[in-house]
Formats: sequence, structure tokens, C-alpha cells
Amino acid sequence: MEHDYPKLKVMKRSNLICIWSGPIRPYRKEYIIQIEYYQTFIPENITCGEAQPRVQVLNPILERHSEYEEGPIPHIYENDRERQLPYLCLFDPTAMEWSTDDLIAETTIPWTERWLFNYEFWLATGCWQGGGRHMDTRELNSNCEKIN
Amino acid sequence: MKKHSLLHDPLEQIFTEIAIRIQLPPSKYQLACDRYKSVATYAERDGSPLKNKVARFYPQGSMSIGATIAARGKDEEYDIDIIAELLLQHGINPADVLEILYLTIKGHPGSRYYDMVKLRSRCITIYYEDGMHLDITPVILRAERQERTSDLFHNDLDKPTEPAETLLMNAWGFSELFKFKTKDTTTFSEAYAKNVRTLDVYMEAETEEVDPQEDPARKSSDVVALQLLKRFRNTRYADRDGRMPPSVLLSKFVSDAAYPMESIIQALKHHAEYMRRQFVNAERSSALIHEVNPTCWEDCFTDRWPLIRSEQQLFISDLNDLLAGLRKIQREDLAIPDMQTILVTLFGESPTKSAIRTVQGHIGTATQSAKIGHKIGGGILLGSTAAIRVARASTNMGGKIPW
Repeated sequence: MEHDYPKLKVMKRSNLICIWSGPIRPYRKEYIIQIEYYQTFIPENITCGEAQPRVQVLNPILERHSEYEEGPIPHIYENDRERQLPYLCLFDPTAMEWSTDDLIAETTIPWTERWLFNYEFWLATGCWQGGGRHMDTRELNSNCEKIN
Repeated sequence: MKKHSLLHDPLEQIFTEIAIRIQLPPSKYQLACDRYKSVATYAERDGSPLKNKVARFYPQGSMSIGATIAARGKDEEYDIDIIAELLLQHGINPADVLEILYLTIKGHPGSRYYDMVKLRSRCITIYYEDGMHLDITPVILRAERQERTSDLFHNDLDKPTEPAETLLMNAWGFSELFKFKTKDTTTFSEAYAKNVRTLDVYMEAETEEVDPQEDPARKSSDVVALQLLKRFRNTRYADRDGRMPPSVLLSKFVSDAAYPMESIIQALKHHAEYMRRQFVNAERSSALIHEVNPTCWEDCFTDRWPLIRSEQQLFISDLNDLLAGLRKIQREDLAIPDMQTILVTLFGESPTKSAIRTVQGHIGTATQSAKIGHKIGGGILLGSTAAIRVARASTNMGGKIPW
């Protein structure tokens, strides 16, 4: 992370958790993001979705447009405790697109850059062209694949 | 092979797509050529007042230099400028020249162009149903002068007290000079042409080989910058009365400052700055700008605009706004919606929003298929260079927090 994204600084680090925060600039606009990653010692007991790094955009606050395609904000996990700070959903947990073996600097952060770039175009046009899908009822009601 | 900068930078792509949308598409260029050749043939029909009196028809102005864009205030209409070189006596009354061409093209009731043609002060205009206008300007060759120098005729029927005039011009000479000075010496025109053909839905076969010398899709950065400047001018003057800076004047400035570049944005900035300096220099002398055709000094490009200093000052103010917009869009911490807002004010809503949707589609496809690079230290880069990393594709999801 230090090599690929040196501006993302470690804000908190312990045996269980690491939090980075700092600016990224997918194109021209700068965003302050935060990534929380919770270490698991028993990976068999949690799902890919549960283990994933949690990415939030701290500044500017993501705009909500219910009238836009994929509104109010495309491809996020709603944060009921802090609605202004949802978590970005950057991969398909059911398709095992990410695992704890992956480096965050090689997956989560580039995916965040892509999401933000597509988000900018979404703000301009009201359309989402960054792809993606939504979980169907079966997936919502069942557990995601365990990591191992 | 290094990919052209048109493909690397989303903002360059947006400018490219705007330029493509404002210009005469290659298929309509061909249609325009077919139409003026039909008019030329019609003018020489049996019984025509101009039978055996037409030397040739040839394009002038924007049509001759590949810089035609949509007309002022009308996104789907194009003005095509054609010269009709007539074999008539020198010294003929200007009103008579215009009249004979008008009657020749108009013909009898029920004939081909009868309801489509209008007599103007220096030309006749044929209005086609699809929005194309053909302006045909009659001239008589002055063989003793430089090649294609001709008499041009002015007679304003709306100003009957204003005397009719015969003026000298050499539109062909200027366009040849312009094409020589703006010849592309970079890879720009090749890359640009590929983008043009992608959008031109009327092209029958995109793989059709086109002679690079004749390909209307190939343009130098100078020509594309000229088209954007004209579009900017049209946007500014859409709701203003009166004349606007003539296209031939803008073309003269671009020709004088021609400098082939790989970047549309840099070319536009270069030409806007040069143009502004010429007007400012005139203002400093408390004079109106005065520009003539380098191939025919009597052919004055500023005889009808500007006529008063305030007209000139207004355009300087417009150019200041253009340059400020370009500076802002390039240097500042702007998101795509903010860039769109600036570009809409400069070039109009329709081409800008359409361009951005197209580029959005390209970006979206690239991000989904992981054909997008990430710079060391952060930032997205389209195309491939050594200084990028590639991250694999992923599928955006969403919904209820899974933890």
C-alpha cells in the first residue's frame, strides 16, 4: 500500500484491525476515503462478504439521486448508522472475486478508483455505465460462500 | 506502437467527441458534393439562361478546407458554400449577375429547385428539406490576376439605397494556402479519422479504404480547433442579433498561427490565445481589426464585421471566457459534472452531453473489462504505458451490509 498508494496513511493498526485514510484522485477530482480491514483468525467462520475491506468516501459526501439510474447511489452497502457514509460494494462476494489472499492495494483501491470514476459520470448523465448486478432473493436469503 | 493521446485522456476524448458532433459528417460531405454537382449540371441544361456559360462550380470557405460545422443556432443544419464561376462579360451590373443565377436555378414553376431557392445579397441559397443549405456565389474570373481571382457581386435588395458593388476575391487561393499551412505532420489526423468514422452512421462500410488525401474525416488539430472556435462563436451569438465574426476571419487567424499538435485542447488554447492577441492589439491602437486575403489583398475579410469597436470588444470578452473555461477545465480539481457544465456553456448542450455519454460508455466498458490502468501513486489511465498497473475486473454489487 505504501508503494502504490503512499497518500493513504495508516490511521489505526492492531492485531485485529487496520484503517487507512487519505486522498485518492481517480482523474481530476480528489476524494478522501477510508478503508477498514478486520483481520480474521478463523477464516472458515466468516464469509467473503463479511471479510472484505470496507471502503467509505469521507469527502465529498456522496450525492444521492433517487431519480437517476441505480439511484440513490449506485452499488453501495447502506450504512444505517451513518447514512451519509455508505460502504462501496466493489466486487461480487458470491463469485469469489476477492479473497483474504488478495492485496488491498491491488484490488480494493483500484476498484475504488474505478467506482469513483464511474460515479462522476453517473452524476453528469444520470446513467451508470460501470456494470454490476444486484443480488437476487436467493442470494439475499442465503449465506455467501465461506472463504475457505 | 504508442497510442495517440486522444485515446489516453478522457478529457481529450470528450473534446474529440464534441468536435465530431458539431462538424459535417463525411457522409453529408459526400451528399453536399453530389448536390452541388447536380446543381451545376442543372444550370447548364438546355434552355437555361446559363447554358454554356458555366466554367465550373467549386467549394469555397469551410467546405473547401474541411471545417464545416452546423449553422448558428441550429444543430442539424449546415451551410455549404459553393462558387459558380460564370462566363459572363466583365463590367456587368452586379444585380444582373445575381439575378441570372437566381433565375437559372429557380427555373419554371414545378421545376426541381423552384420552391427551394432564395436570392441573397451575394449569393443564392438552396434550402433542402434535411436542413442543408447550399449557398452558391456567382463570380467572373479575372484571368489577368493570380489563379482564380474573380469578381464577386454585392447587391442588397433590403437596402435599395446602397449601391451595388463588384468586389475582388480569391476564395480558392485562400483555401489552398490554408490547407498548405495546416497540413498535419503528426499522428493526430489518423487517430481523429478513426473516431469520426465510428460515429458517422451513414457510412456504408467502415472498412472501406479512403484515399488519405481525399478523406474528409482526416483533419489536422488546427482544423479541429477552428471548428470548435466556430462552434463557440455560434453558441455565443445564438441569441444575439446582428453579424458575428465571419468564419473566413477565424480561418485566417488559424492559418496564420498554424501549428500541428497532438492535443485538441492545446490546439484550441493556442489558437484562441493568438486570435485574442490580434484583437487586443487592434484595440490598443483604438482601431478595428483589418484582415485581408493573403492571395488577394483587395479581398477584405473584415468588410462586414466588425463595423464598430463594441463589436470587437464583445468578441474579445467572449475569447476571455473561452480561455478561462479551458484553464479551469484543465487545471482545477474538477469532477466530470463540473467539466460538463463548463463545456455546455462553451459549446452547447447537445454535442457536449452526447459526447460525455459516449466517453462514459467507453470508460464503463474499459472498467468492467479491466482494460484500464492505474498509475503508481493513484489515478486512472486509459491505454497502456509502462507506468501503470492493471487490476483485474470486478462486479459492483450492493444491498444490505453483509457484516
